[in-house]
Amino acid sequence: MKISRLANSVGHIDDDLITAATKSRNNKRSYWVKWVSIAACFCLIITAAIIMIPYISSSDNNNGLTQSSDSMSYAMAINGFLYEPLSIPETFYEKYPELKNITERITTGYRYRISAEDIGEYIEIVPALETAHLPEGKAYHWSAYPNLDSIIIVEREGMYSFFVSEGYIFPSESIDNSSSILAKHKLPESAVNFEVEDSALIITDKSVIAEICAIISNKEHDADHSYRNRIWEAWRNEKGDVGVSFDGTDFSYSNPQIHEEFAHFFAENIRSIIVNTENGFEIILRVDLKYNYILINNKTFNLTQSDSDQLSILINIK
Amino acid sequence: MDDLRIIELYFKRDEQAIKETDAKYGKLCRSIAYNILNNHEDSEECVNDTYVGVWNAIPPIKPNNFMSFVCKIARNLSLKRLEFMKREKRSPDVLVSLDDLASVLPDDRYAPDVSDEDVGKLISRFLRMQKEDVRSVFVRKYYFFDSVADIAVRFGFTESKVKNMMFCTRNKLRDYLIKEGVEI
Repeated sequence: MKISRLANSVGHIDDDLITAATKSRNNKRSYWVKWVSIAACFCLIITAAIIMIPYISSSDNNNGLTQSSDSMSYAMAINGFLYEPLSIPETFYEKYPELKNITERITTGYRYRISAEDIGEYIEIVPALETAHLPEGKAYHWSAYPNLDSIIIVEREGMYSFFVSEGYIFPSESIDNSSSILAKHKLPESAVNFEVEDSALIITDKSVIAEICAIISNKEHDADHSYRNRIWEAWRNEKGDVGVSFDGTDFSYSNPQIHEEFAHFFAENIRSIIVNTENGFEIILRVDLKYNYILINNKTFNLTQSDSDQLSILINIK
Repeated sequence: MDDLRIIELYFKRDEQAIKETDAKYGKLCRSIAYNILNNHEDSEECVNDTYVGVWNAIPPIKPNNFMSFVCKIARNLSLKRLEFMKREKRSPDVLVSLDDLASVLPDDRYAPDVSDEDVGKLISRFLRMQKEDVRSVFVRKYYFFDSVADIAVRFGFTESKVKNMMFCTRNKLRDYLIKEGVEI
């Protein structure tokens, strides 16, 4: 079997792209600040991750509306959630299998024409994005799924396109306390279920869901990357001060074996709880009950030992 | 030691050059090789072969970007070894990343007149049109073959977000290549 041609071709990409990728790391915070300074008056559009995906212009559209082109391919904050151009997570199809056909037609170059019938209830104004020369637009629900907030239609200058959100909240600075995330998602009332990843456990009992939400509410946001520091210190306590170094953001390793061992050490106590809400969001709570923290929207919230003990019983892990 | 100084050592045929290369880029080379081969012994051999390759190439070549020069050699040697391992049926695993890419541009039957270098240039041009994090995630995944979990930790994304970004970028790249005449 031959290595695919594209794998070889990727080996010929320009040097500066390779160099940039070796230096790249999580720069969400500075990215955010940059956008605030550029578009301070549009406080809801703070981050814009250009994700160019195949939006198809349709010129032979008989009864449909004009589809957006690449000019719409910017992530944007709508109603306080981060929406990205249509990129449906696979897990979404388990809940809404009929969507797969439509989205595959869009993303593989076929046409799905958003028609006037698709346009549902108006949500809110989508602010202009001056740096990308995008004018103000309007966000609407998709009439086929009027109660879904996770997939919506955005109109700008008469062009329409789908946008999706997993429920990531922006501006992220507003997340100073875990309760603000729960409130934004209307949890626990809006929860359909809590799925514990890598186990068969799906919690649908409303009282258990409410209990979990109560435990993780009112937790203060710790410093960025503090959980990494915590794991690193635990590693050093257990194995000694060798093999892994930490610069406050990233880890580096003395050899591949150490890397593998540390990756296992890092991940072995983390469990993901996937929260499915009735409006279609999927919120991932990553809990580490050994080192007592919970990651929500990439923010670290500290848990007490008692929180961890109660949670471990409720989500049925050691 | 800075890269220019290391390159000077190669030009002087000073074996210290290899030690300095290992000290500065050994970790990076090992991670590329291990990501591709998933085996420490083979990875280590590939890294050693990389140093031999660099030693033989410099001089006459004087690379402008020494880091990417070394990475490219490590990557190419690792992919060659992977191909050999598959042929010898020594590796039951087919890397997911390679399969992902195969779905974008399957094999030599397509656009036989366009060289890999030319496709590489098109990919570079395509990547420059993408947002920085999309670009870096693509390169981390398909150049360095980092795992989704490692990329998620590196960029502070959820794993599903990384998977989505890669899915979209692959589709977009496929369309871009078609537009540029590399038919699939």
